[in-house]
Amino acid sequence: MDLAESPGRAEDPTPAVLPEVITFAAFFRREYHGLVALAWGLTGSREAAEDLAQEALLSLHRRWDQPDYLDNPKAYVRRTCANLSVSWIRRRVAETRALLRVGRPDAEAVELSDEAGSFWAEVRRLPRRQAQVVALFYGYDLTVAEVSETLNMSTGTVKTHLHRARATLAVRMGADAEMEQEEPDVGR
Amino acid sequence: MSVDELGRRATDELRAAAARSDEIVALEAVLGSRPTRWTGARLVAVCAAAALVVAGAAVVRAQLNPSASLSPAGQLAGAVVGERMSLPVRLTVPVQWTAATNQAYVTLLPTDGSDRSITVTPADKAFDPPLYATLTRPADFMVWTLSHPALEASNRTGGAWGDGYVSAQMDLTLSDPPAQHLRVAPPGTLPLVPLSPEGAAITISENDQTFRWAIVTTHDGDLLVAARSSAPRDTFLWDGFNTLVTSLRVVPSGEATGG
Repeated sequence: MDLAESPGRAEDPTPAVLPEVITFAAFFRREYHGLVALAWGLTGSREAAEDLAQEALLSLHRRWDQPDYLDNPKAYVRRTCANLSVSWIRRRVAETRALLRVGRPDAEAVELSDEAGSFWAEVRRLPRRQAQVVALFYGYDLTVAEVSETLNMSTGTVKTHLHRARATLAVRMGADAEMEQEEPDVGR
Repeated sequence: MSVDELGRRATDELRAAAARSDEIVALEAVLGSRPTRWTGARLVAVCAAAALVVAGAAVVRAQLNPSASLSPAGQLAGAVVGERMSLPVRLTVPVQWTAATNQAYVTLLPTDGSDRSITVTPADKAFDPPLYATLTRPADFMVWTLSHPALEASNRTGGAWGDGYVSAQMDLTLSDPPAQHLRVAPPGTLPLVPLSPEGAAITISENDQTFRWAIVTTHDGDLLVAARSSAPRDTFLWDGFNTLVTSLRVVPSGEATGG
């Protein structure tokens, strides 16, 4: 069932210039699970990930009628989700205080294997930008160019972040830092 | 093993787990949170989403009253509880919201096809929960329906904290309260709880992710609370309700609203 047409889209004469005419509901369905995975990797919380994915999509939804944002809605919503995710920890502190006041035990379900859980935990220990790059590169299966476009940074910067992140992860995970997917060209 | 290989494997797991997230509920939460005029398209969208919800309610009602039937569109045909309910009904929905769900919509769906909607802005959008906060699962969907022969009032809330908890509470005041007791399905499995004459705040919490919806309706002078599963099998946990709900609390509305 196609749940929704975004309000006003039918009367909007601009869709013809857009790269792809798509309903918000369809876009939502296409992106939602990927955003949840992205935010989950960056926050370590499934519940938070669902919330952040919705928040990112809501941000896009509010701009859905503005063609500027539709030039690359995927990059916009992924960037928003990634940024929300890395700042989530600040909100987490406030919420934890609130939850303690109502006495709710924190019962985050463990849904990933030790290996996967450890990998993403180490990703979250990385510097903010490195964590975002890794999450998009692995978690979203984006190319360096796509990560670059998503985070509004140069491909060289993305590669640098990726290179450093890989090196750190290799040490912490006892893994080989050898690149299999996309060879970083550091300093380009 | 290389970092790439670790990353791929960790990503595969993450994606598989994320795919279990309910995008329908999430979509409705987002669509329902955008303040906008009720265009025809939006009305269709919300009604379509509501139909999914109403379908769940209809299952409850159909079991309660064989005269209730579900139309192909998922809308309830016939009023099961409305005959005991006099309008207007005053409804307040004190909830905790994220930025993604900063408004609640109370939608009245008259049978004549027109829509009359009002927007309820929660009184408290801070993280501090109300004193009688309800904590349920993230992105939970709480449905409250009132039926009347000529009018169905449907209140839908959805949302989640950044921490993943949505607080959905209903402080219901009826001008002519039909309900004297709270009853949890299956009948008799939990004690009847007397309600205050002015209404009640109903709190449901759960210990299992399979809990998804709470449906509050009236039947035979009682309030009936039921839950619907969000498990992949998507079954209605009528019989298993008691195993999911760990606490059910009714407090007088005066206490609820007054803290």
